Formats: sequence, structure tokens, C-alpha cells
Amino acid sequence: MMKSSLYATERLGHNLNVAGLLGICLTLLIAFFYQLVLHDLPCPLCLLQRAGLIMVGLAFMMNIRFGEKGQYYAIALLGAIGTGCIATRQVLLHIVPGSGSYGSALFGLHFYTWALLCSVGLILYVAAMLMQYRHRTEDAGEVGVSKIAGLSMLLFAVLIAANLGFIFLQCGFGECG
Amino acid sequence: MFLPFLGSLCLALMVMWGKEKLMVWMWLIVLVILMTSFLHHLTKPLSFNF
Repeated sequence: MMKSSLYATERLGHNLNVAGLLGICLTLLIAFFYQLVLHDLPCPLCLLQRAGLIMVGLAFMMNIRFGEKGQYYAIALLGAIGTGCIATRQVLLHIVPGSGSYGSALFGLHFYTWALLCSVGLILYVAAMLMQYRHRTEDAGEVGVSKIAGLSMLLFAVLIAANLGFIFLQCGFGECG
Repeated sequence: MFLPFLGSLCLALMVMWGKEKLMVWMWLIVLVILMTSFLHHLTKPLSFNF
């Protein structure tokens, strides 16, 4: 493969990872909006789903900061599968008619349903990214971290810290609920 | 519940700091902590108050 073509492929991968990280930041921001503005406190399973999405975000962050690697895509997939398992558990708890639901709905779907859709979407997204991924060679040239990538990583870290603070206020050091 | 988020924050700061060594293994440890919390939740008696 030509050097310029390899560079373009890496740049595309970098941008896709930044887009993925921003998507996860947006998801966490929406959850915060419902928590702080609409006073919709998250349940323990909802918090676990947030942590799962954060795990996927960390994998995107590693791809951005250290360059794309197959290992990082693998852990992104693991995180998405874990989130999907947790969300599926909560969907199944509410699937029986008369068992009610938890929390607010967004566009007619509850947040655990959205978490399940997000995790399936993330698996497809990472699969698409893996299709364009080429193993990096030494002479491929450096792919720097763009300004928007740096800002998205900072925003992501701030959102994790904010989640940690609110979880401490809601549950302390122990298990919630 | 606290530990997975604390671990994630530590990982995020280490990534921003540029520490790449053993990062995947540390990520896997945090995932195991997260899934242990989930399994603990699964063992609770079934109720519809979550």
C-alpha cells in the first residue's frame, strides 16, 4: 500500500475514533441532563451501563492517543458486549406486561433500551472501523492528536470524574440499592 | 459501584498522560470489577424495584 494511502487510512481511523468518543460523551451528557435537570436518579443497573459505555470510550481514547491497534478494538468490542449484557438484563426484567418500567423515556424508549441499542450500534461501528484498519508499519509516519481529539478526551475524563462524584454522593463506597 | 468508575478515571488519566504500558491488562481488570458488580446484582432476589 502506498505511504500516502496508509496515512489517509490512519487519519480516517483516528477521526472515526474521535467521533465514537464524542458519541459516548453525548450519551453521558444526556444521562446527566436527565439526572440533574429532570431529577431522574439512575438505578444500579443504569450506573453499570454507564460504566460499560465508559469502558468502550476508554478503548477509543487509547486508539486516539497511542494510534490504532487491534488490541484496542478488541477491548472496545468486549466493553460493548458487556454493556449489552447488562442492558439486556434490565430490558428482560421489564419485558413482562405489568412489570412496569424504570425512569423517563426518550423518544418513547427507556434508557436501558437505548443502552442496548447503543451497545449493538457500537459493535457494528467497531466492526466497520476494523474493516478500514490496516496494521501500522514503522515508516507510516506519525498521526498526531488533533485539537478536537484532545478536547474530546478532556471532556470524557471530566464526565467520568463527575460520574464518580455523583455516585459517591448517591451510594458512597458500597453497592447501590 | 464506586470502583469501576474510579478505575475508569485512573485509566483515562493514564491514557492522557501517555502511559501505554500494560494499559490493556489494567482495562481488563476494571472490566472484571464491573462485571463482578453485575454478577453480584444478578444474585440478588428478583424484584421490580431497581
